[in-house]
Amino acid sequence: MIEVHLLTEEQKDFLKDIYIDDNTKFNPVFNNGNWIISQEEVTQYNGELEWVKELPLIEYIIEEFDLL
Amino acid sequence: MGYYTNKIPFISKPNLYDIDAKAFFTATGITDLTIKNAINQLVLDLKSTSLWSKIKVLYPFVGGTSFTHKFNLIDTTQFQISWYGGVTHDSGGITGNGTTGYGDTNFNPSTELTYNNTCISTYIRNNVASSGYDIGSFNGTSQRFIHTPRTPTNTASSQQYNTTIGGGRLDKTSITDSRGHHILNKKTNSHRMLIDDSLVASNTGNGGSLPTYNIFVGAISSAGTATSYSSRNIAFATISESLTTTNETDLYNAVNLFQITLGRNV
Repeated sequence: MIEVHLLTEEQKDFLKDIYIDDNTKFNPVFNNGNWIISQEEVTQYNGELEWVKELPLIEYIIEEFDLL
Repeated sequence: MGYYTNKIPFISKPNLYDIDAKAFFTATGITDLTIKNAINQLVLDLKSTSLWSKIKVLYPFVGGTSFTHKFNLIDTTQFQISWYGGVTHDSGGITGNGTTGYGDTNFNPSTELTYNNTCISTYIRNNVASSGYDIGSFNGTSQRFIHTPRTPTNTASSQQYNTTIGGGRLDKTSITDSRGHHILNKKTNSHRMLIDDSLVASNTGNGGSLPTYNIFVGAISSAGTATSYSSRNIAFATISESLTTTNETDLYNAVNLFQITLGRNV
């Protein structure tokens, strides 16, 4: 099971313009009705937003398909 | 009769590195000698085989950081990758997390490439069967430039530029390993898929057109939005004009030697 961090709509709008490091931006993704970011993004984030480190974890729902 | 001079004799230093390799070292700040020698040999090999001029972008993914991994070896000032989400950068290259991580190459195939004169190559270091695509972009069913080395049902697919098999799409079934050097080479009446310099599939169909959105790595662009996130470890990628069969082998040999030198060949 993959776990990811749950975002509110407001947090999603805010984080999409924030850098994780000097060369990487957050990428909030819509999954199974929720906005989420990955655990890797939170782990790699070296900024000052403390609330990012405290976001709750939820299960990521994998959407498997064969070919687009 | 001799004479004296205060001029110091000029002793030229041998050019240790190719000028384009040096430009890459300057841009990335890479000082590691193993990496520098591997990059230099790669550049020399690509130039001596006339591949260099055909390749539009080449991401060697060396140096182990999001900064060093963004640079295009062909021209470090162009098509630098913008990274998003959870991508792991290390000495093995880049690895997406399969959920949010990808890079935007800022390379638009419809303006930088020409129809039936295109080629994708990647070097994949892990064996993953998934819905993730490693490179490409698409606008719909008939504007595609995407590749996956192994789907959940063990199919490799090169879609240049359509979803119709034999009409701009080439599939190979019964794939059991996503690792290796993949070449997807498209020209008029020829679509070839090679893995480690072995031709595994080909057809002669044409169809579709080049997409108008930037190519992503670690996922693909669906009209500008990332989708089909990959968790594969990508250690090299090129986008180029189509290749001759000799080019295909030369590219494999150059990339294989490059990965061996770096100690990350599979």
